[in-house]
Amino acid sequence: MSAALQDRLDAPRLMTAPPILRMEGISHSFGAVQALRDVSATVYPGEVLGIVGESGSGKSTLLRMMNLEDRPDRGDYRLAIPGAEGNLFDLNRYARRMLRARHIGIVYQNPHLGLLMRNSSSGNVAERLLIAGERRFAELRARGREALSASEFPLERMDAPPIELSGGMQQRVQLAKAIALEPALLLLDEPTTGLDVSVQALVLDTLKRLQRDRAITMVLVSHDLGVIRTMADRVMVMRRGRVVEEGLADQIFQDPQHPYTQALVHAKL
Amino acid sequence: MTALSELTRPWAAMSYGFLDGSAKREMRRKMLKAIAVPGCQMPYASREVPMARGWGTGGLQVTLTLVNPASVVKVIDQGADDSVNAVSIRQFLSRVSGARETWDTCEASIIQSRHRIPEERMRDDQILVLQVPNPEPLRPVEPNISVARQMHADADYGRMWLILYEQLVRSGRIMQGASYPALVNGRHVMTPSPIPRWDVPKMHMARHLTFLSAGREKRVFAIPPQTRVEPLVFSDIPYKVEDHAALTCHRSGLKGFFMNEIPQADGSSAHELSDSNLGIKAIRRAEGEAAAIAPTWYRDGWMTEAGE
Repeated sequence: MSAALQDRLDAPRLMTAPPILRMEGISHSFGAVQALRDVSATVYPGEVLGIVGESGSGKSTLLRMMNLEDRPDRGDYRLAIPGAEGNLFDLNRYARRMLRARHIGIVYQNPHLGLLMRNSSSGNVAERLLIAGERRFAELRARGREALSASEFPLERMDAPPIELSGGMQQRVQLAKAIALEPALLLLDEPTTGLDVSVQALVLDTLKRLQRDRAITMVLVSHDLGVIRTMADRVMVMRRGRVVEEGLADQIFQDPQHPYTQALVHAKL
Repeated sequence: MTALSELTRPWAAMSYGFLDGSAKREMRRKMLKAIAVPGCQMPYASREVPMARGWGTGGLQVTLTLVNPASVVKVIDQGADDSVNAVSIRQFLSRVSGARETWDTCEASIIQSRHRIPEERMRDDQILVLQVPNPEPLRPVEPNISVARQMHADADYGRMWLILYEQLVRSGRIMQGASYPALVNGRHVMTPSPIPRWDVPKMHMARHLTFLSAGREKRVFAIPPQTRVEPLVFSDIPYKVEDHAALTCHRSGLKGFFMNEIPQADGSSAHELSDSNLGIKAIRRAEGEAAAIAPTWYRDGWMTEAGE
């Protein structure tokens, strides 16, 4: 066996590294509606965790919790990041904000949530660096340009406001903003929903390449099995606030165990 | 028959300064708080004064609280002492308190101002009161007041630089001409009211006390003497004041101060000192009168050090 092949046959990172994200026993209700019931999730460094489920299954709520935008009624959330000790839901507003700004990137389905539509695109990326404390204009320009080109945004339009851009381009600006600080965790909330199929493929392509080049840990929420199948290493299937099945992507798609997952996979095929 | 007037004491004023005792106490408390936390906006119960909101009611309430019969008040409006607004506020102040009126910066003990700081250096026994239309520097980036308050609490000011970033990207230079945001005492970002960029360095480590008060928005904040006031800048792009160094006042002949541009019939423009009283003193001096001009903040268009 050649040495090159030996290198490639090393045990996958999943098996050697401790998890970067660990959530346990998350329960949350909005009034009478129980949105999450005792949900647990683990994400390993460098992997893509796909969360799939129908509308109202609690997948976006879970992602909001991961982004520390919301606090659940009960639950424990830990990130293996220097400076993030203990249950992150117990942090105060200031510590939460700093953690979010420095270590977590998010791409929303609706670009209006993540972007300042009337500021320039490069300004949107710069905002994130500014919040983290960068005060050199030349550096902001350089790093903005770098992040935008990494998300395959045409640089000649970097100073155009997102409101003038197409949906796919807006998602790229969001992506550039999210990766500008090289976050430990990238959260994607239906990043390609609402884009037409060819643009969707291009955005997924960019995501895939970023994931390969930078080994960014991602959590991808989608109701589109095709997207999950393309991107995810591991899949979590959610229904009515519960995780009904969890496993490697191939496993879930080839050999679904839970009746709901079976229905889902077959409906797709 | 005994007249009612014989049974009562003769009329005598029990207070001065238009505001009643409790209104003054409210103002005093909030002004002291504002001094204690430089640059932090303190909400206060803004009273009615005989002037419309937005015409300097905030500044007026601060001045009315500070003024006493021994005070000397100067009121300026865009640098001028003789505009209708400045004249009526000054007359009102003197009428309700017995304070003396003046145009001279050196003579005044309280200077209420709209949009300018005098060119002559102020002393530690003088108080500057600035009228503020919009006290919230975060308003352009965060319209929600509650969120803005949280941002002040967290010193979350990153987005203020985004405004400057956008101006640099769109226009190649900083376009913020007035109300240039500044960091006070290394902690709170404030808007210095719509004074030109020229005037912001005058606040840095100044000898005098400055109050900034917004009557409509009901907020007061202060810069105590010898407090750092640093305009927000990118570390690789220096702060620049207006380029007025080379302009000469066509009436007084003074050079190197902040000028107003006066359009001429032939399409050109003449310039005159924005600080009108400095111009008047310079003219009187040129005509041989003894008019004392205090050291100025700027000399030949450059900010001078405090000790000079």
